[in-house]
Amino acid sequence: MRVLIVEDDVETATQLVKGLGDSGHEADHAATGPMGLQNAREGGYDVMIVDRMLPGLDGLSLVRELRAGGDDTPVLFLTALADVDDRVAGLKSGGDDYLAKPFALAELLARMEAIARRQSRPAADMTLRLGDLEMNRLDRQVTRGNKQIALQPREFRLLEYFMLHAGQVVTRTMLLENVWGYHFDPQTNVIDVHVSRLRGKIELEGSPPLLHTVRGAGYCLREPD
Amino acid sequence: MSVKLIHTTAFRLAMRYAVFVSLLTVICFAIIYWITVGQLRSQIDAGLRAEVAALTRLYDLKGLPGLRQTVAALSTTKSLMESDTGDAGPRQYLLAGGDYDPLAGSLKHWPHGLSGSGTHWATVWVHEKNSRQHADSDWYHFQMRTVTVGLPGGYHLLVGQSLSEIDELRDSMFALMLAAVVLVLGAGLLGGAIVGRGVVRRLQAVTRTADTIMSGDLSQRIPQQQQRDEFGALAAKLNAMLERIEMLINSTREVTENVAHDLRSPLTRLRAGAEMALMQKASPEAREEALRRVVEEIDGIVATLNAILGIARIESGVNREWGDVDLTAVCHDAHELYEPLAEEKQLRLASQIAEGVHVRGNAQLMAQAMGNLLDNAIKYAPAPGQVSLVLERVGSDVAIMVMDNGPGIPVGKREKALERFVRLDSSRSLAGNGLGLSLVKAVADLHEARIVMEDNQPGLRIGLVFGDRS
Repeated sequence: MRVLIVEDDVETATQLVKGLGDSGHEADHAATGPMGLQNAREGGYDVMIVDRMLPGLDGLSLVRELRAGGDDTPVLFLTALADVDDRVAGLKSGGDDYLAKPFALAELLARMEAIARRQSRPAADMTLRLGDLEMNRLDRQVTRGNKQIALQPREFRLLEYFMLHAGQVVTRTMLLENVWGYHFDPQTNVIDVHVSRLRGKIELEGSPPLLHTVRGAGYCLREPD
Repeated sequence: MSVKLIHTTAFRLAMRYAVFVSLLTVICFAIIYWITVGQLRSQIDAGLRAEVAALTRLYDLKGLPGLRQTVAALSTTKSLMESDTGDAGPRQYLLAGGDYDPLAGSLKHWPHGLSGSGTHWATVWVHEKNSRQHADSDWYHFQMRTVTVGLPGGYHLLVGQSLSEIDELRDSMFALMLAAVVLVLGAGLLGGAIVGRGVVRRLQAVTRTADTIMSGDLSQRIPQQQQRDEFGALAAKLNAMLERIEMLINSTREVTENVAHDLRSPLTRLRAGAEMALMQKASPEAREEALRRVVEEIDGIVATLNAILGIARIESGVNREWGDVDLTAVCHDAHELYEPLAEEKQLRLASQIAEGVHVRGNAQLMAQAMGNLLDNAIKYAPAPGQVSLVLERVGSDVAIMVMDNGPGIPVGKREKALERFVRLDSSRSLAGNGLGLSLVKAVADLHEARIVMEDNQPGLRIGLVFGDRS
């Protein structure tokens, strides 16, 4: 993916550019708001990572201006302000997701991929499929092979989220935010227990595993090789 | 800082009021004087008119000799009534011939400028030689209201009345007025000074306290007086404010110290890990392990900082989305989120959640607080066992309670447990940053809810009680 990073802290930006490069992405860096806006307008980016505090033009205004010009490149906001209300302000101005500094590169990559692929995904598919795992979103039936799998409502939503992001890394906070709707960090990792429960239901003996743990990042639901 | 007496509001108000009252007094006296003088003048004129009419009739009846005799007699009588000061008597008479030569009367000259024919009213100055001994001067002067008539036969008659009565009245009224003004101004000055001094003294108490506080002693309070007046109320309010400020500053200080202290251990480990990774002879595996620990430590520090900032934000109460919170739903969600965790620890999470319970507040914070309570309960409950979540209406209140059978919190340490970084488990064997209950307390305070901590025999029964605010 081609990524534009708008970030005034050169150290952070350099590391981001390198980190993204190591992960197979191609990243450009703009150090000020106006520069970022100019780069973005020249176009060609799959996703933008925008710091909220920028010299010249702050991140919110930058994205607002970009959106007003009809550009809908996915935007991930970075900020030192980590609060629900800041998050809401970021999303209102046209951002697609929000990440507080300091962050793990894995978290950034996962979220970036999630918002970048959101656009290409068929939003209203009634049936989701992954290997022999099949989910009917209309009558809420899940089967693996020929076997019917009974899921609790929350487990169903958890699996639905995994299937919509199949092949992508999904972090614990992404699950907490998108499946449970909580925008805070619980002290204990309750999410792991839920995921392992779900895993216990969808993984069958003799079948290849689908739901993988990605060390230091989260989980990934992907087709067996 | 000292306040000069004349600059006090009380003094200036008193002075302004005194000046105002003085002005009113002057105006009142002027009006009274004006009315009285008017009445006196018309009385004088009426008297003179009657006298002239009577004398004219006498002249008609008895002719010149009779009038002359009467005028002479009247003048003598009036002369006898002259006052000791040499003033002319109240009434003056003069009968004069055709060329104004005096024939009889108390005046020795016909006043200048008074013509003789017809009836004329005038006010003239009279200068007469003093006829009495021991007088202050040879001449005396007075103002006189006169009426002159021309008599048949070319004679002229003048009847006049000295206006000294009016002068006397004016003098005495002026003196009275002056006395009144002096009295009012004096009283205002004195009253203002007394009140002003009182105000200054009471304000100085506040100023002194402020000085002491500014020099660093936050425990100082404004001395409280018995009076329940506005100063007493102000002092009480200021003291309450100081109380709150001192509390906040102390808690800030405490938090800063705690943060510094609590970050020291992870930073030490962090440094050790980084040094380990830098060592030449470290194996790639050891290096990787050290760096992984470094990242973990940093995540821990960030989590702690976020928790502190979160609590601070909640306590500041700013920027909060406020709305209707479906507590029933929040409880069901919390149960659903924590149930697998409890099960994994071989605990049963038993819930008893009342339907349709709503309060005003922030749903995210409420969920976070409840999460922390459940997290603690699950952490401390002995396995196998049970943790309970109850949402119930108690009278008009709403209570959320979480119960466990863990070690509980001794009565004396319950308040302490809500403070930041306080971990009652001194061995610190369980993970945690000591901020969980602080967050619960901050959320409770923001929602004006009470935190209830009771003995669950054994274990802890802790929860929030929302008062009826519908």
